[in-house]
Amino acid sequence: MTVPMIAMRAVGKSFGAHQVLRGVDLDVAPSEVVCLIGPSGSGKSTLLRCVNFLEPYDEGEVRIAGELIGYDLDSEGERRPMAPSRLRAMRREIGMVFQHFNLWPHMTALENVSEPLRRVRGLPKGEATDRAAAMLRRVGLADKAGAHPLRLSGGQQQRVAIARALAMQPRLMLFDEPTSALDPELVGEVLEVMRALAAEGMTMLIVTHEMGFAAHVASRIAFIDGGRILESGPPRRVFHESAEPRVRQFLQTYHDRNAF
Amino acid sequence: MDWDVLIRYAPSLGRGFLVTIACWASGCALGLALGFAVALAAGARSLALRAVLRVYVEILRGTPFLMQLFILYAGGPAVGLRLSATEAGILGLGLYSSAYFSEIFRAGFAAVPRGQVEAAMSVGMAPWDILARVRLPNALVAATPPIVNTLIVMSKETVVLSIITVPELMYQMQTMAAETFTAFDAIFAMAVFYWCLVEVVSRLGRRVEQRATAFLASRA
Repeated sequence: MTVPMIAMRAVGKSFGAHQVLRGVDLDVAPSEVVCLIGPSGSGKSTLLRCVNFLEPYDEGEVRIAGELIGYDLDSEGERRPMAPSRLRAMRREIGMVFQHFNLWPHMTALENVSEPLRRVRGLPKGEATDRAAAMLRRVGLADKAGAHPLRLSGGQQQRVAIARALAMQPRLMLFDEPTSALDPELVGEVLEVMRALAAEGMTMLIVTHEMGFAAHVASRIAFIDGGRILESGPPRRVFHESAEPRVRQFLQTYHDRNAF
Repeated sequence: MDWDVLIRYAPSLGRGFLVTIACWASGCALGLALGFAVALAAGARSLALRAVLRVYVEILRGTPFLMQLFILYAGGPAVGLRLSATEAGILGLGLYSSAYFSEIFRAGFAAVPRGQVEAAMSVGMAPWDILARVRLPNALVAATPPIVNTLIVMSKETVVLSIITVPELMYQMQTMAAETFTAFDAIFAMAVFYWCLVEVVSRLGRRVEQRATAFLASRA
């Protein structure tokens, strides 16, 4: 069996007295697309952010292609924070796309994409610019290279953000509700880019409320509530055959809200 | 107005003006650098360090500049710190203004959305690059107007240096007034000098502000 791209074992996380994640196990194989769904506050985003250690987990393990992220184990098995430079090296391989895009507003679309290539990959300016331009073409924004984020629509900003992450040539991509902040009309263009990415074999872990997208693109759906994965399986099983009452209730509410 | 007196004293007034500008510029450069460092260090994990910096800022903001200058110039030798009047003046202005600048930088850094820093962390940028390329350019959007404002306030605070005999503009004016009994002319001329200085600083400041916020102006 191949080593999973992401392997989470008994991951726990608390904010003060509030326990957000309670012993989560989740594997994502190379080229697999896993969608995390569940009610707000269920811990899905926190779980996603544990994968690149933007959110330090307190218990359990998160391994990226077999390597533990965030902590080092000493000879007695005690763990201590990982050296910052090694954590950065691991993060380089993990692309992340945020709900609110998080583009750098003082840089143009092109600079947003080329900046990490120059600072982190150490590419010379010309090469970084060429690669960034190619990435913008790939997400259909070649004509917006010189525009600052504030001049772009939400959908365009999110596509630039995807280009920024992809330009680093990551081994996997994390998406944290990538379409939740968008006008309904702009959701499609972002999902289209993500669909193409999935088709190319990118490993993806996606927190989303887009059930249609999840049903069509995901290899697997994991339903989270109260910091636990209550159901996990192929879309068909989770969406149509789940025996878990919480899952059925959540999907029913979703259908009622979206029916007209 | 006694123009003869003003013309006769023009060279010393001019020298005083240059000393004022030199003290102001080097004092504020020191203050900006110190203030920036204090603001950065104030984000440190260590509670003790943060408490020390808090006390530093509160003392420098909470006591009169004149008093700080006296302590530095007259009290310095007691702890082995022998400074000329001008050195004490520049150091004093630097320390005093650093308290204000640090608060401005602190507020500027606090105004940078967390998500921008997280985006930089997620691609593996080093802390230094995140500071130079993401945090600082964004912080300056909020920080530039109050920085310019404080530079202007400090340009006028330089008159206090005359009291510890720094040969700046105020000091030269007082000398002229004492020697020629032309108090009104002296004060009037001084007002013109300072006003010119402030005008130049605020114009330059506006230009810097426009550069720092240029990307906001491109909003659709």
